Amino acid sequence: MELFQKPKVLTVRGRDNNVIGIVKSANCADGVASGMIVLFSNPPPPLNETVYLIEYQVRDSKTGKKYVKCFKWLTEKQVEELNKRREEEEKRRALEETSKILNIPVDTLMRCLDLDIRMAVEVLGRETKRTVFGIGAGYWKCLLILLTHSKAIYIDVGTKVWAKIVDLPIDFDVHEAYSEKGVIVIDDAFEYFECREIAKALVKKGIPAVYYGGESGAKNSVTIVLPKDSELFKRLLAIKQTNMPIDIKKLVYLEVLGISKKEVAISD
Amino acid sequence: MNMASILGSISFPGREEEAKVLVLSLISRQHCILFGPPGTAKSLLISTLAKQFNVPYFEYQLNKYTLPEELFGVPNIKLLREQGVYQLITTGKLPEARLAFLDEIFKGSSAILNTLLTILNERKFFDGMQMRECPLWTCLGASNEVPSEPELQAFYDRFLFRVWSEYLPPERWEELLNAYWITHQPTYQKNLQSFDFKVVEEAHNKLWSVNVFTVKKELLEIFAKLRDQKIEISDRRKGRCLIAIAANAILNGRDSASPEDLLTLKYVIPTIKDEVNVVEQVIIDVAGSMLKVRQQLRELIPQIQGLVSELERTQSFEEALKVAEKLKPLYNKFTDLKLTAGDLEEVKTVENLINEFSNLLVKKVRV
Repeated sequence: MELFQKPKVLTVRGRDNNVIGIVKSANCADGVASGMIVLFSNPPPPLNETVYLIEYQVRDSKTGKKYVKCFKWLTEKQVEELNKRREEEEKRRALEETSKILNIPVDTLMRCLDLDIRMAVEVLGRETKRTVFGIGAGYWKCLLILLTHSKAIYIDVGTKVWAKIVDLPIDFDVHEAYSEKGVIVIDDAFEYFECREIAKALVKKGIPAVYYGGESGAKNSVTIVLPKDSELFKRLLAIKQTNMPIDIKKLVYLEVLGISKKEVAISD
Repeated sequence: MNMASILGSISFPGREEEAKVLVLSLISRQHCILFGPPGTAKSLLISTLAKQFNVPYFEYQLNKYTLPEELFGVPNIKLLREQGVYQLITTGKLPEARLAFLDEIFKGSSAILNTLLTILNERKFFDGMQMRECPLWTCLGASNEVPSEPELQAFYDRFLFRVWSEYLPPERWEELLNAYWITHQPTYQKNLQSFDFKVVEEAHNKLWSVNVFTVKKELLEIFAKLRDQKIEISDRRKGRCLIAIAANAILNGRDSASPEDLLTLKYVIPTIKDEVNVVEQVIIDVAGSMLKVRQQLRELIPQIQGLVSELERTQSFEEALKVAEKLKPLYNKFTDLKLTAGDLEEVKTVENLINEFSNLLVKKVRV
């Protein structure tokens, strides 16, 4: 339930000793405004309680003043409980779907997600025998598990858990990586938009890649998954380790990756 | 054949500067005057250059008794008597010359100098009843001293280039003797290499396409500094400085000006000999850092060329990358120099070399 969209009301005692409410905050679009009086149908909520109006009507009083007639309300606590239950359901659904795709038991997946990010990436990688990228701190973590060269599952673990299948490449800051193949991060030459275009071109060629950057202070990067013993992997590593002029390095990278300057919008 | 080879043909010991300025005056189609005490080879230098071209050449030494007809021709009496038309017989005289050398030029009478002023300035000559076009390309003058009379200043200003010659220092006397013996042989001038004047015309045609504004900032700074030093330059001469700069660029086979062209201004800006050193110093102060940058850029060229050759010889991907690594410090140096180098042509040369290197490297790493 999106609480911020519902009028928030404080209950007080009315003139006739009955419980009424005063709107504290509201979305003005439906005519409810801060300061309006709320009359509850029976049973009214407890006194001195913050409640959210779920079903209500804006009406005119005999004196011409507008007031709110509330037919259904929930206390703050009830709403929290509802949300929690819903998140649990969503989490379970997400985990069930993900575990099916990854072909691992839900419990295993849940245990993995409870680990710290480094462990989570490694354990998930070993369990699924897939390439896993991760970033996170504390309870919050994001995981990207590659399914094919162009598809991955993106799992966001935070106040709630959700997962979805995404098309590669995506913008992902790889802090942790596990792969039975080799993972090479090119972060020493290209601009953010070039990284994005390179990643796109690589995915088109059947090579999984993600990119990152564009923010102030962020290092622009393309993370590429390749067989460790492949010639391409070795060459990319050698180029990365060579201290040559950036402009030339870019051309060398592109040549080795088999990507034209046009594809990444690098001018001559 | 180009102007540089014409310059190379006039080899007089210690007179390289004078020879260069004479050639610049030809490229720019401007007039030039050489100052100096008697016996500094002014006349020999000028006549040697002029006689190498197969064009009408007029040479004369002026004095206060020189009559206008000695320069411009005598009246055609027959024509006057028979048809009543006053016209000069200009054959072999200054009005028909393409190149002219007037020695002791300021010693001419006011009648001569007034007529000369129009010829030099407008390349026109008033022949009795009508104005005639003169084919004069360049007038080369010589004088022992700068005129001090105010009435001669306008005439003096028509000479864009001015050079002050000195007697040669002792270390060049031996060279001088050797050269004297060769250049004064009766057959010397007959055996001179001859040049087609088209070479000069072609060089001049390129003059206005030279990108002179590559040194505009420095030129303005030179003007300002000279004004601080109480050396005033007329507006006309300020503009004509660009002509001298462009001519020097052409002489050096360039289509854009570079800081070294600014040094040409020491033959354009000074009006008296005492100003030459001041002007030169100001030019060096302003253009010096640029010249240093240019020198450093020139030093980079063979180093990068060396790396291109080294890269060509590599046999493997790893070897090629090692050579690429060697380029990094040179590339960084070039990047730094480029910030101050502006449009120096060496920048283009280095850039082309770096492009050559990167294209070759890309070929080498191709799988």
